[in-house]
Amino acid sequence: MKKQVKRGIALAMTAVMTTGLAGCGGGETAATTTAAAESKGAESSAASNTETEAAAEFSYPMEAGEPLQYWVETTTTVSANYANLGDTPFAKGLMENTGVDIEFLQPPQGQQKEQFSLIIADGDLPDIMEYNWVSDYPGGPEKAIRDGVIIPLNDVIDQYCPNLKKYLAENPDIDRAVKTDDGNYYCFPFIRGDESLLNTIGLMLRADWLEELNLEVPETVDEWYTVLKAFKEEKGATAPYTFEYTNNQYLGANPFVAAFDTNYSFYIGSDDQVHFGAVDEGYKEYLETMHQWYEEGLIDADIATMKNDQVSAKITNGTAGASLGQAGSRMGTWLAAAQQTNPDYDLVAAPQPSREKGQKAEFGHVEVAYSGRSSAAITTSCEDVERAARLLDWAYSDEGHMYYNFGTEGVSYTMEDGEPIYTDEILNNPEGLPVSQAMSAYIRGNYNGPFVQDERYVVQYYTMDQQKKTPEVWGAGSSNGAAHVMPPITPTSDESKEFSTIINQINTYRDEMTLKFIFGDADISEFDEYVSNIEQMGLERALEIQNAAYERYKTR
Amino acid sequence: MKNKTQKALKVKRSRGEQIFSVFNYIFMVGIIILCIYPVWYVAMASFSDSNLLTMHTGPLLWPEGFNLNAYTKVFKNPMILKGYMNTMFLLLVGVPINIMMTALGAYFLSRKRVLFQKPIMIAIMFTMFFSGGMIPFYLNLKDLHLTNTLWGLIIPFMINTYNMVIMKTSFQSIPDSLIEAAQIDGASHWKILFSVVLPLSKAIIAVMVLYYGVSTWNSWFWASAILRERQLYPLQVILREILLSNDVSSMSSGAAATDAESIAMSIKYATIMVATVPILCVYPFLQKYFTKGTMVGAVKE
Amino acid sequence: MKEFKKKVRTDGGMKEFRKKVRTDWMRNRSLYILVLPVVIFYILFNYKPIYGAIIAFQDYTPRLGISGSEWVGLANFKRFFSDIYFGRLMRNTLLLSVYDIIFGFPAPIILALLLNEIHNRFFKNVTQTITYLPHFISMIVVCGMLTDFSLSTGLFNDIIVFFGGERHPLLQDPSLYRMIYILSDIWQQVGWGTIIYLSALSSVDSQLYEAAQIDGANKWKQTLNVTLPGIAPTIITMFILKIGKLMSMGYEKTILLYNPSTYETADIISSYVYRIGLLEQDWSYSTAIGLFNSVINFVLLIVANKLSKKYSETSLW
Repeated sequence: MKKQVKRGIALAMTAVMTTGLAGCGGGETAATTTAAAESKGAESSAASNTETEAAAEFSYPMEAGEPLQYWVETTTTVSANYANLGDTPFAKGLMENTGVDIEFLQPPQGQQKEQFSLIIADGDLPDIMEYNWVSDYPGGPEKAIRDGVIIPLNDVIDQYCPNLKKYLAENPDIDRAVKTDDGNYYCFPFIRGDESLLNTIGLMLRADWLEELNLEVPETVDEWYTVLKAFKEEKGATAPYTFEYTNNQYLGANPFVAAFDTNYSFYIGSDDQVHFGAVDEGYKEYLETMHQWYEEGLIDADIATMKNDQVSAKITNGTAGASLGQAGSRMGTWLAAAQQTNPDYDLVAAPQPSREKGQKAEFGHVEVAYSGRSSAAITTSCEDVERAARLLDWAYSDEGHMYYNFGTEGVSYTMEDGEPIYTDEILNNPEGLPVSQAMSAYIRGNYNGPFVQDERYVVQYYTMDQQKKTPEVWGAGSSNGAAHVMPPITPTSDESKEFSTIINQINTYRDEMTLKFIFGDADISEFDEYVSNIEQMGLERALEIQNAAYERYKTR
Repeated sequence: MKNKTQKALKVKRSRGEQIFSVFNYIFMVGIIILCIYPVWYVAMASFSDSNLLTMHTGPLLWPEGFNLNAYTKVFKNPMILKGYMNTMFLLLVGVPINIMMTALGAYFLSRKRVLFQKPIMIAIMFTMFFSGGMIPFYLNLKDLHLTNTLWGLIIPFMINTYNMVIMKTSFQSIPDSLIEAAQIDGASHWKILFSVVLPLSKAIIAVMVLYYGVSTWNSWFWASAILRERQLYPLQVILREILLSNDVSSMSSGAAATDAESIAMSIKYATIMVATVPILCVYPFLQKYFTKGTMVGAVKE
Repeated sequence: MKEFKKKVRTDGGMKEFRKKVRTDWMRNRSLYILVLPVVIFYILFNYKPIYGAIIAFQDYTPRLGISGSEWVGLANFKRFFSDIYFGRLMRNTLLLSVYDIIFGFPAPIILALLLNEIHNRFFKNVTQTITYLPHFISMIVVCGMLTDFSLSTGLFNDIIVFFGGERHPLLQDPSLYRMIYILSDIWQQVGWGTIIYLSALSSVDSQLYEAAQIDGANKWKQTLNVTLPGIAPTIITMFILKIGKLMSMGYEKTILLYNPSTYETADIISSYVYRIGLLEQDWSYSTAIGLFNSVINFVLLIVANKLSKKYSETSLW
């Protein structure tokens, strides 16, 4: 009996969903859908026996049941104080609110890919896995479904996930991004809920030095050259520009590649086709420039092995004068640390450099609202799909949204004039924890996870003026970058193996050769040979696959 | 005349020897410095003030701005203690099992006139040079339900063939008469192993404790591959996270908070000290055994 | 194995053999029972994974498992032979091993010989203890220290500058990578390696030295004519064991030390296997490469054993 009822509701929901999607363009239909959902919610509170109510009968917390295994990467700000994510007040509260017991499984930092690969290889999977299914699962999400790793969520979302469903119906762009070409939903996505959350990485340099040397914030590559040269000669910086080269996130965001109108990897060209940046003429110019800078000692000699601790040390002690990083975890940290010993120390954000002064840069680093990162999928090993789905769906409810971004009211935030304001527990932790660590104890809003990130968190966290300026300096106005960002496209599962083999080989080769060109171990005259090698590895085929995938994406 | 030249030769020779001897001592002192200095450097860096340390260039002889902040931070890290506990478990439970199993195999191989000894020996030696590889090994562990448990780091690594061969050679040096006498008394092989052979093999056992202990202490790869729960991590996995992980911040995307946390290079060094000093304190006391033990064992007769 | 079969044959047929087995069982039954756990261990943790390595001939898919995955024959091996990095991987693996043998192998012998000439017992003991020290520092820590010290601002460069050199990021230079790898290996293992040779040295007959002295041989000659021949069996045994492991350089140190700028000299078969299998999830291909490596090792072992039989009259079977 109960089952039948459920199926009925599922049907009803699907009907609503379809109408919602059909009228995608018009806000009116979306509004209707929302209204429908809301009315359902309203009805649910009044107990009666109609069919609609049976679905809404559901409420959190759920009844106790088997614990779910939840595999998720380890975050430094959590692991600094908690052995396991499950020990944090955040996780405890999550379990309490949803009624689901969660067993968190976490790989060592820096080895998540290795462990993920082994887990997949043996086929006995945790119930929920949080991963970047788009770029880190070889072949992408459709392949993962076909490999029998994760389950398609279409029916699951229809049946158990009113909140996510509602969110997707309201945001058709995101809806398009979070499914495969075949129309399969595969994850509970991490979504950056506001534009101000998309421009978090950028260049910064020593403002006090600029002032002392009477220099402006550089806007072109040439001006950067002048500034770095001055830093080296006048200020004695031995590694004027340094950044965390070993971290792919920064490597991909490298503004100096973008300055030459290209990209490390795939991008959408102005012809609306997919291109591979590392074979462009612009990339050659980038390599030439970097080689020159390297020879003249303007970029860190140790760049290939640079990690966070060393970059931080250099930028704070004056060995370096410019770097790349986030406004929060880098700029803020560096300012606070360096000002303890040098009150004059100051950093300023610099815009995406362009080739000519006054010209708006064509390329630049912009995140997309949904990049694929940290998205939770339900695996084929999960026995209680409803429970897992309900647990994950909660994050997209109003209550869950607040919880993921701000924590527990009265503990980690209070409501003032309708706005959530973090408490001193977070901003001024009594145990002296840095803010990011205090936050990580109560929320996931400051890093990532399957929920919608709220911009109100960032506003409160850019406490320094230097940081507050970053969204504008690095933002959409500074470059046309957004037009070139690759959307989360995926090859078909048939092509995926071929594609990942080709691209792995190309990437390894590119990484190696890029450094060789910069260090001068390979002369720039060998660039053509480098390009033809990459072509031999199957670049054309890879582009063909990518372009087809892009076409499919556009027609999703 | 002849006498004289001989004498001269001898003087000359001993002068050459003297010079050699002086150089030899100097060389040894050089080696000592080479072996100790890196550790000394790490120790001094761990006691240093982070800010001063990053500015410092040139060999470090004493701490720069002595303080213990780094150690306070290291001991506040919840994982370090957990890591220690797990590593201790692996040592206290794993090493005795290692020794037991190795002794069983070594004893079998050291006996004479056993028909199937040679085929078994060959089959065992074969595995020293031929293995299925990482992925099949892992799939097998999974098959045997040895993932996500510390037993998965003990049971599949119970015997190191190389060590077993050393132990076998050592057992072979025990006079046959002793064993034969026990056999005549009606003692079983179990009894002979435990009441005759092992008591006579204290030195080699000490060596084995050290060999297996060191490799257990140092192992990290399989731990990081099979353990899913952070509570189970042994010390080296934690160390790797702290020292070598390239990727620590790739997960903390977006704008994190403003941290007043000072950038502490010295924390890294303090972590190294905490994870290394215990074993450095233990081995000199075991030294007399292992010098003696390998003497018996390692050199094939 | 051959010997064993021969024995069976010459002893005259199955019947005889059965009888032999029976007597052997009567005599050694408890011995076989005693070794049973060991045999089970080897079957479960060594032979079963070797069976599992058949995924090298498949397109392994976890959902289908080892029994259900599609067979692809030698495709994965062919792919490796035509891999653009095949030549480089073979060269790097071989060169690293060869350098290890050329420099790493004699180092403890030399140190042992020198230590043997130290007559002050206390100093000798202290030196020994201290040279063992690096052996007890874990690989993780050694590699962590190496990466730090090799930075252009690191300790090594401070020392280079002290002696009038120029700063240079050492771990970014492919031409220095092998040297760093081998030297750090020597640093870590040389003291520990002397143990075996020192014990061999102590068993060299002292009468031989006296005889040599009477013949007027100086220290150098004594070393050449008495000491070295005395410890030769040990040296040869160790050497053969080393040859047998020629191509089996582990991945652990490599993956802790290398970066894209040093792939050219640093990337070896095992680190490639690691990347393919664990980072790119190409399990079958990874296993195929590993299997290929194992086969090479095995061939080398047989060669080494032949050499062993010929020169030292000791063999592994």
